[in-house]
Amino acid sequence: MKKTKFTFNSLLLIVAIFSALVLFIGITMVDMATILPVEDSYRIGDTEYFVRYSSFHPYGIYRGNDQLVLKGSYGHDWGAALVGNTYYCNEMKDTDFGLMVTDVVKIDLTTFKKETVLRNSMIRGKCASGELIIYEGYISPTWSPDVNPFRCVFRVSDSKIQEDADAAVVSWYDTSSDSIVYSKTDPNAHHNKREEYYISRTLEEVRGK
Amino acid sequence: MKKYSIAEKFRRGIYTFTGLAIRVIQAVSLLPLPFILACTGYWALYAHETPLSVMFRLGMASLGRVELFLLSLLYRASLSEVALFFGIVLTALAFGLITKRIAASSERASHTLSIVFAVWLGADLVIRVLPIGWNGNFGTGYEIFGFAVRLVCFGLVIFDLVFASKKRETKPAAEENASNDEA
Repeated sequence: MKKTKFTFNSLLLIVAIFSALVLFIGITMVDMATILPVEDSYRIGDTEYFVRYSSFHPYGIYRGNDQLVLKGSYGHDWGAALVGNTYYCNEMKDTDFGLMVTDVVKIDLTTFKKETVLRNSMIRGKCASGELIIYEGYISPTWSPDVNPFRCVFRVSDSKIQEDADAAVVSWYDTSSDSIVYSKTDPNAHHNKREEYYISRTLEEVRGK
Repeated sequence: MKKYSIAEKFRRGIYTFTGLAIRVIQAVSLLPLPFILACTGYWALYAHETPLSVMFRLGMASLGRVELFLLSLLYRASLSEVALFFGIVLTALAFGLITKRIAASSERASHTLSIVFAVWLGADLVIRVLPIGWNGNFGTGYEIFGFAVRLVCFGLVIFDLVFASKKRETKPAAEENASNDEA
């Protein structure tokens, strides 16, 4: 009879197989991110379209109450802006554990073509001169960025995410030229007072200081 | 089959220091896994510093920089901690299987493997001290641990290349006997 040797590689194989069971059963049976039922709709400007969050229907942009035109989790607040027929907003994406990352996207409300403006970024508002204020390399507070080790892994391949959880690259995005007109690294970007400061001032005021 | 002590197995070349370094790297690669598994059951764990998250950081800081970068890309692309988990496990497994296959093929291939491994570890150590932003990502203490693990492995491989393999060359008969005993 052949004697089989138990090696480290065999151990790894067993770990892979058994943890697959635990991970997939654990994550698919209990979706922790959506245990609270929601049903909210927010009108986009004066259009007939709504951003809808629902536990019973897919998240997305709806025409009226029930006609889904674009699937996805889009923001309606935090500086989402309708410029002409283009909707600038944050697209929220969950990881398996319900952690949230966002991209800034623009959606053409005629063709419903979505285009990513900046990855891992978040619109935080509109400044006094009309440019969108975008925090690049943004990690939502729900990530508990100070202690969350997943954020460290995320950051390895994204140089925009700052080492300090309070810091961010703040950019002013001009919607008419579709480009970033000014950027600065702010070590205190995530302090509430800083957001108020940026929103209440024009770009020239901030740049001039 | 004749039984040897571990020290004797190293002396006879049944075990090599390169093999030991490979096992050490595989073992530390597994440190992040319990945290990911635990988060499956209680996702809010990521919001607290716990012994498991410390293990996670230690393990991540010990991974090769290139591997860590690729895992980070995988995590960002897939937005999945499960993908990250299997990325780590399968990389460790593939690393172990490939190196074992090469080492077992011939003495010359085994020697080449040691050289390649030493170069790779040396390059990794150099990358770790470059002033790249994410080099201190997991905290200074964790990065020192990761550096120390890699340095020890580098030392083991160099020792194997410089001293141990030469010593074995002088005892071909003993080696042959040992491999016969193993068979």
